[in-house]
Amino acid sequence: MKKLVASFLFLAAFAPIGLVAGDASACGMSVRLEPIPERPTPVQEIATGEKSLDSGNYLAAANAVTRTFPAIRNATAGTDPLQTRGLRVLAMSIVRSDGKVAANGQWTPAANLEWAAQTLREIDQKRPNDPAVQADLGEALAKITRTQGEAYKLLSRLADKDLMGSPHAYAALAQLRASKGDEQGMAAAVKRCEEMTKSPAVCKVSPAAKPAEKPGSVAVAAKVAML
Amino acid sequence: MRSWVLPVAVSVAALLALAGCPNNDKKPKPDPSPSAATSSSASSLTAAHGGDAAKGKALVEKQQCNRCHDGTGFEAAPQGKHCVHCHTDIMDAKFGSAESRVKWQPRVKDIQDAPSLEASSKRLGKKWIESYLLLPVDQRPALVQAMPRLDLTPEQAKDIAAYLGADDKDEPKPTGDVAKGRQLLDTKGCGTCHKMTGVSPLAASPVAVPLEPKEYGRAMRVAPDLRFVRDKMAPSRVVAWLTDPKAVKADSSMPKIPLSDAEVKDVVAYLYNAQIEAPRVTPPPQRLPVLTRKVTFEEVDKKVFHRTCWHCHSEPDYAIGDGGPGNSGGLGFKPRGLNLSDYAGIAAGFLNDKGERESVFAKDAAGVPRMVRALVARHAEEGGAPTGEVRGMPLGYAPLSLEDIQLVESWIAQGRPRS
Ligand code: HEC
Ligand code: HEC
Ligand code: HEC
Ligand code: HEC
Repeated sequence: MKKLVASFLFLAAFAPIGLVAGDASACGMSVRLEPIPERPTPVQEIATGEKSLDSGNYLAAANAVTRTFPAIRNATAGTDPLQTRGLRVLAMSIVRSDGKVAANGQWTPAANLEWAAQTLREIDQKRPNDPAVQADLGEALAKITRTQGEAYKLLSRLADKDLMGSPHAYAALAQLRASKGDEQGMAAAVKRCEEMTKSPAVCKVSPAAKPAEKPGSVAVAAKVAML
Repeated sequence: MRSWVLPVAVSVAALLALAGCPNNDKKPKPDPSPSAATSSSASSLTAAHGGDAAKGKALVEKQQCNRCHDGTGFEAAPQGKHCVHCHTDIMDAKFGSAESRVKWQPRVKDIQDAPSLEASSKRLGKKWIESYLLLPVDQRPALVQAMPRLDLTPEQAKDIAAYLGADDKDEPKPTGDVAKGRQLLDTKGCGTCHKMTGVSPLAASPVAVPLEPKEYGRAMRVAPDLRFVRDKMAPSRVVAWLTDPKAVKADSSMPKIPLSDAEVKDVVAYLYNAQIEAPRVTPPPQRLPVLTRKVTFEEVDKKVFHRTCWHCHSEPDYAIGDGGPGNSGGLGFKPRGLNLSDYAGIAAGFLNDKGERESVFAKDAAGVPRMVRALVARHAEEGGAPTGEVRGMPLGYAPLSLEDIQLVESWIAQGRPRS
């Protein structure tokens, strides 16, 4: 099966080409399109979710994913490309809404954030050495006090190598730098964020983090969080 | 993030449809070079040239020459991966909707042909093939110079040449009548299909043999520039060719043009002995100064990345695992992981030779970002200059206009604004 997929893919790379229902079908090239269905297909749903995530509509993004994959919380990253995209969309909606999206009795915002970070770790393992995945992971880790040190390292490394294309990840880095009292570094990260975003609001560093914390305060916070 | 819906839908359908298709596995085909069929019989011949035909054959398979060329000794690549067949199908209205084809046809018109390599061992000298593979120069005025600069060491080029090529022979200079030869070129229809750069333009005269319009069209597109004949072919092989092209190469689209033996000799004398002007040296292009007006990602994406680059540099998860030769690898290139299909992907850079991620915006010693360097290198490659470490982009396609390069460079200089 793997071989079959591999021998085919290139077609897909070209397919962007906006084919319409009723297109040619031929063996070898094998493009046959089903009539456009009335309900969105899973692929369309996830693509809509990605768009919603991009435009800051986290609730809609998460709903698009859970509608398509009701058991997504138990899914394993990397088993199916579409589901993996779904996992990312749900995880990032949770991260960007501070854990509020898709929260309910069992899934408190804190538990949600932990799930999101764990999910992104799995995606990162399945796609090693992909800065786009690493930026998402860094952004998630920055939301959990215990893992902020790791987030700082990860995001700094990406920024130093100029491999980060996510405004949200730059915003997270700005916040982390601010909390370390690195005003200059914070300003630089905010600037990159603003250059990359369609909505500059995401680049605001929250004033709570601004006063430089003393070293060690992060460790204290981590202990509290782990209780 | 934009239009993922259709592509993936198409790919899924493609996979399903494939399940019922006859299997596309490559079957071995006759070798284009009889001398390569067994390496033992080849050994005495390859000794002089020094290449290893068996290794060359393996490289031809690995480098997927059969995604563009017929006559490689391997079955053509499946349609969904075949650069030339897919483009031809678009031109022949066999692929895509009528609506899409209106958009596509002008884009693929000049990349729907690649010469077949059939019987190259009866035509093309090994030394020439070797040097051509390392630095392809435009052979066909009617086509985009679409033979890519592949990832080959000089040694490997030699091996491929040993597999494909004809033994180089030391033959005396042709002795026919050069002036008569030229006259024949002008009157026998040669100039209708062929150009010969470096001499005064050949006259377009009627071709004495009837040809199907479609066959004619292809012949006019793939007819080589005759200036290179003296480098590519030994004189005796040109004589054989002109006497009966299809006897040399069964799938040739050059018709047999009635010529007497003496006339053939004169034509060959012209092809070898005519004074040829040195090739036009195209000076390396001067980059235009960066723009002062704002350049957004949307603009660069529309004019460059999604127009030209995405084709080979897409996101594998959206394309059933293959992001094209510039991402997942192919045509003998190792996977570079470069995704030019969205903002975050472009920012995520590529895998360098050490397997580490490197930004495509990193500046070289002269302050030129890697991506811009690659775009400029394509101009140099087309001009026939060696380009060093950075491969020209778009790979095997017409260079971007200096205005489009300026757009990319300006966007980078402005901090790559999203909007
Ligand atoms: C499944 C069909 C298909 C296959 C296979 C395919 N192409 Fe294309 N190609 C297209 C279509 C469709 C376009 C026009 C796209 C557009 O206008 O957006 C195109 C356009 C191009 C362009 C022109 C882009 C421009 O700037 O105008 C290049 C270069 C190209 N293809 C190269 C290749 C190469 C090299 C391969 C093989 C490695 C290949 N293609 C395989 C369908 C295909
Ligand atoms: C992306 C398509 C593509 C791939 C892949 C490709 N070629 Fe080519 N090749 C071309 C095109 C197009 C030409 C014609 C170029 C021209 O005339 O300027 C060409 C020309 C040639 C020629 C010169 C033929 C002649 O009669 O002038 C040789 C030899 C050749 N290729 C060998 C190879 C080998 C060997 C490989 C694999 C290692 C290969 N090519 C891979 C497209 C391709
Ligand atoms: C109908 C178009 C057509 C006409 C007319 C024509 N040729 Fe060709 N010729 C071609 C094509 C196409 C090729 C490449 C054949 C192939 O690779 O299959 C070719 C190949 C050649 C080659 C081999 C060159 C190389 O680089 O491989 C020579 C030499 C040549 N032609 C000479 C001539 C001469 C001389 C005449 C006139 C007497 C002539 N041709 C008339 C189409 C034409
Ligand atoms: C026909 C396929 C194809 C097209 C079209 C294409 N690329 Fe590439 N690209 C490749 C391949 C294959 C590699 C890997 C080359 C290597 O390993 O040396 C690559 C590598 C690169 C690299 C990084 C490697 C380096 O050494 O610098 C950059 C940057 C790049 N491409 C930019 C572009 C841009 C920009 C465009 C559009 C203008 C483009 N490419 C279009 C196939 C393509």
